[in-house]
Amino acid sequence: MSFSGGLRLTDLNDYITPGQECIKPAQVPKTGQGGGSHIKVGQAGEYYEVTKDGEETKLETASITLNDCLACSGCVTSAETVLITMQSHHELLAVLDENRRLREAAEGDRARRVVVTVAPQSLASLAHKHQLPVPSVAQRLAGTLKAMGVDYVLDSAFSRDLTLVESAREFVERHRESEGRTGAGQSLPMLASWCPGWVCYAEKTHAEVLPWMSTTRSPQQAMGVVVKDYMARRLGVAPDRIYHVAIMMCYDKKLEASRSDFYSDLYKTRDVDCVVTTGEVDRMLAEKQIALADAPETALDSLTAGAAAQDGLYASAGTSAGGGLEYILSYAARALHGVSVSPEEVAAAGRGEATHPLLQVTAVRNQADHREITLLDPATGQPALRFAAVYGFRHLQNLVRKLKSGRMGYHYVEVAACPSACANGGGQVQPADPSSAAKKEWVAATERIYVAAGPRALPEDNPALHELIRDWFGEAGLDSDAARQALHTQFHGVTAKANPLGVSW
Amino acid sequence: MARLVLNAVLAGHEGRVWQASWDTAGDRLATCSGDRSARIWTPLAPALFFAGAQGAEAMELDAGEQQTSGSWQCVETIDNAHKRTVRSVAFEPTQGRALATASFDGTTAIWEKEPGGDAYECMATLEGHENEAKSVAWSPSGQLLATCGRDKSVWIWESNGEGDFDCISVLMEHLQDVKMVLWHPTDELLASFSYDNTIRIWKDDGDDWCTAATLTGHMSTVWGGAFSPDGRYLASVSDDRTVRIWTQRAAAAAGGADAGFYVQPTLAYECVATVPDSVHTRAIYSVSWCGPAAGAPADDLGLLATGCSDNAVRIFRVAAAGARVGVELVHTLENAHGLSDVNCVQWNQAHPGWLATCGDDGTARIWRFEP
Repeated sequence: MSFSGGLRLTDLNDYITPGQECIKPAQVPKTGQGGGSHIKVGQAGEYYEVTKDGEETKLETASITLNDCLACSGCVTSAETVLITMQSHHELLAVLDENRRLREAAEGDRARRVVVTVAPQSLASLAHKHQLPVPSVAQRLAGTLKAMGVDYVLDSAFSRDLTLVESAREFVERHRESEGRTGAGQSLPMLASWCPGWVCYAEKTHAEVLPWMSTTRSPQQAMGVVVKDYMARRLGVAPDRIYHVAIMMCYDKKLEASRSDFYSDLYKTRDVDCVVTTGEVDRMLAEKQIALADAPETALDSLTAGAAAQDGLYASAGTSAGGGLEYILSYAARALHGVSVSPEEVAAAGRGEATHPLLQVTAVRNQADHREITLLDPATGQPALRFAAVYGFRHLQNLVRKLKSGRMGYHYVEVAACPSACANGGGQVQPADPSSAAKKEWVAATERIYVAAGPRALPEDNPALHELIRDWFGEAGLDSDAARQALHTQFHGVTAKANPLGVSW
Repeated sequence: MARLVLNAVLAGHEGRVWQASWDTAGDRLATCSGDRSARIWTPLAPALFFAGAQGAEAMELDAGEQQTSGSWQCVETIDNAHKRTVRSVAFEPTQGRALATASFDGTTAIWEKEPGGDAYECMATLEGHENEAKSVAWSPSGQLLATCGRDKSVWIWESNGEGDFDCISVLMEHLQDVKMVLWHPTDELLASFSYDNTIRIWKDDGDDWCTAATLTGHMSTVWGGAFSPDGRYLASVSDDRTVRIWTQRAAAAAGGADAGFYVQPTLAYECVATVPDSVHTRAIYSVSWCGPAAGAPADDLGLLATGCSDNAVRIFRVAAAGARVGVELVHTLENAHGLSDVNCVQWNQAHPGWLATCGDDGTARIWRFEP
């Protein structure tokens, strides 16, 4: 092959992999000696600045921050390695060590309060791995974390109740605004935004669907604002004096925690400082040679003075995607059509365990990960509310195609980027056998444990939630501007930057 | 002495021609190019041309030839089909009406001309690849479409019968750029060829598609492949300058009883022939397999053609030799497209012995092989 002019260079595109597109190798500090120095690449790929008189200084390798990744339209995948180093259980251990050191130096007042929020999907995964009941795992984990120096351990299903109620209110509001019409220019369909993998993908590649994203914070970020706002005030400390860790089912949650929307410029702190995955927690326990089965049981903490759930755990009906579809359908059926269908009835119908005269469940193209759940109008038998659950990247593609072409009549779509939703989160404890058959069975078992652990009561019947809302937002409760401000977020389309290597050749 | 005889030059593209694909009837050839267009060509009188009569006469091999031969015409030009290079083109195999194009702009487009209409219209755009799409292929039934690209992924789409497609699988197991996708001629199996030096065979396990086999052996990028028309063999070509021939061996179901509900039918492939790297002098980009003539002896497996960046087209005779396969070089045509890479070679399966090639000189060429 003989190169002939610039034309041939287009071939070079073939050899640049997505990871390599992101090149930020060396930061060149100005040495102030004027021109004449140059950069040399060492044998191991390290960079040296060589001055005129031959003096070599090794250059620091620039690091790529999460915000660099978020602001770029490039790879999603290679960002993961960055995430893993930025937020891991080592960060949590470092904070606990620092607190210990401060206390030993009689500077305990400088120690930060450490709050850990744990997701129910993570508890199900740990329960599966360690063959323990979910409440027992929760309490043993709480006992272990507290013995390590964590001050509070909270259940993210509590903030999920808050998020569920607010999401359902958002849906009803959007439905009234568009009078039930869906499509371009309408406020429906409402798309779930709890899955950060989906949000990130949509922002980077399909910005036109963003107006349909539910603006209510996810359970993780709702707990973030509860801890850094409500709890900080109750404890009488500044938000940055609390270090908030979330134990989550997926790595993408780290990306969510690092969004600038959840960063306080005033206090220079994030609502969630660090996300540790279920698998990382399990590895941390192994590293510290702690067997969950032998750990002491300690009740989880309650955010309010009033009643905590019986064993400190909350739950909601539905799949491991979190129960948004089930609860919102139930709430909207009541609010918009005066029909009573409980989230548990929706969940059971969705799993194919029960039928309901007003619910129609269809697995699209026979795929369990793309289910349509339709509420029928009792008077006419016609579809009144069309909901769908779409899990996994391939089904998500069809959702996006339908959204863009306007061929979609759903009112609400629960979206998760992983097949089988969050029981299958990338951060969950993985089976020892890596075969896809073993993995499927493993995920199914985790899902069964997750489903069996709940539910007890409707989110709106959670007395602790009522107490929190009253205490936090006053009499106007969720209708207050403060609640709107605290519980909602926004989305940002990322415009593709022209690939500098792709232009003009 | 075996030789390739040039019968037509198809000129018109204003950039390198990446791929040439025959329709099932063998009368039309689609090409695609760096000029962002796709074209459809046909002989003025196909039956006569392929019978070796009208217009089918030997031309002098003149690398500078840039005029379309009088016996052929360009019947369609889909200009500005994409925002960037059109890298791959394929006719729908059952009716031949629709045409799929895959582009470096990341999209795959489906084109169709209404009966009596005057131009091809875009019926669907398949988005999903993060960047350059490299290859598109229809399954023999016309129901499935596969695409692949630089983002290391292979996508499978299913026709919804209304001109549009649903995504049924996104396969992200290749470690590098995927160069080509190819369907098995009879079974529902997909092969993909990658910069990660491997070939993967994909199969539907009832729920999703999964890897049924990973073929390792090439020492560098695998640029492409071709199944033998009976589906028993797969030929692959690589940057390592070798051609390899693989065949399927019966394998025990992986895991057996331990695999629970999800028994994965796993296939095993074995390399039964390698054309050593001394034959081709540079990266081999393309290979095509022409089945044996009717009535040929049972061990005759037909002919392979290769297109190479050493500017040559080579023809090999393939024959079964026990469990192995013999591959014999019978003709080397130097500078088939002048001093340009040969990007693609494609036997006409309906008219045996006719070969289309295309290259960086911006032309496609039609050859007749004389054994």
